[in-house]
Amino acid sequence: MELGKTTTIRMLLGILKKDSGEISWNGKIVKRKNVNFGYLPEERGVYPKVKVIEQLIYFAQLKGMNKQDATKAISEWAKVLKIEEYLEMTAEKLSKGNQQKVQFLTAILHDPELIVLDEPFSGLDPVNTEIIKNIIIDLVSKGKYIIMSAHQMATIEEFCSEILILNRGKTVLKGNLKDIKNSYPANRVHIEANQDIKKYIDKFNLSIENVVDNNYTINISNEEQAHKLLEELVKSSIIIDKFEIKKPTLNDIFIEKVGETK
Amino acid sequence: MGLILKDVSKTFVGKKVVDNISIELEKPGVFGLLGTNGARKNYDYSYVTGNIKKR
Repeated sequence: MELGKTTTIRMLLGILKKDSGEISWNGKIVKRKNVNFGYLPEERGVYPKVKVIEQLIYFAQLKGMNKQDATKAISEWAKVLKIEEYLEMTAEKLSKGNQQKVQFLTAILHDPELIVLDEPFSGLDPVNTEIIKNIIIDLVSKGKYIIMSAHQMATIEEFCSEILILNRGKTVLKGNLKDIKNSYPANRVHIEANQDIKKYIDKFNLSIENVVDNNYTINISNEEQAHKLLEELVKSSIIIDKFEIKKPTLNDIFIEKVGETK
Repeated sequence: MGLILKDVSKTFVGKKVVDNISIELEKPGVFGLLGTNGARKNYDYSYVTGNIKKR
């Protein structure tokens, strides 16, 4: 049973009672009635037969906004989210992606200081993903605190400074993402050459993870191996268009850590 | 000060689904909470009572 992430979020928000431990926001214990966080739940849901603008105003009012302020904020955000043309439609007429943008808006409309996003990018196409990403970056620059739950590592890597990886409810890795990645030795080197360089790679007993048109992704155990290979290639007059040493991705680290605990 | 979770745990149907989790988000930024996929579709969850039972 793997409910860890969402259960943690529910306790954070005061929706679910915790069995032990403390949760505080700016020094005060979090109680559902005294927090005004923003929340995008994993379960997607908008009122299908209600107009988009009406439900946005409704949710904003639930969070203490007056109708005037809500309407103004909705109008501004709708431009950014590119949902202006949908405001007067009933929600069921919108595509899933657009419904999700509407639901995302309910989480941020009342200008909360802490925003919890449960899988905000799941199901979104690249264009909408980019829109949401840019909003998140902007919110952080405005001083917001954001907790994002996800299982898409690449997206998390782009803007999470701190991470926590849970497996079966237990912490398997936690800390500053940069520091975590730096604690691992480099594990790959990307080389773009002007010709096939397999024999040089084989010479150093390295394995090729992937190769497309003389663009090689080679597995290494440390940086020295990559530099030695490069030295050999240069000595052999191979033209190198690209040489890049890579640390493990968050995906690599996740797989390793979760695999360890099985 | 920001957000602090300290040693938070939750047990459902005899299993510890959240086991001593601590999170500190002291300044503005994005905190990533990552994990394996859930098996939640097998369970009915009540928001009202906070109870959970297997389908």
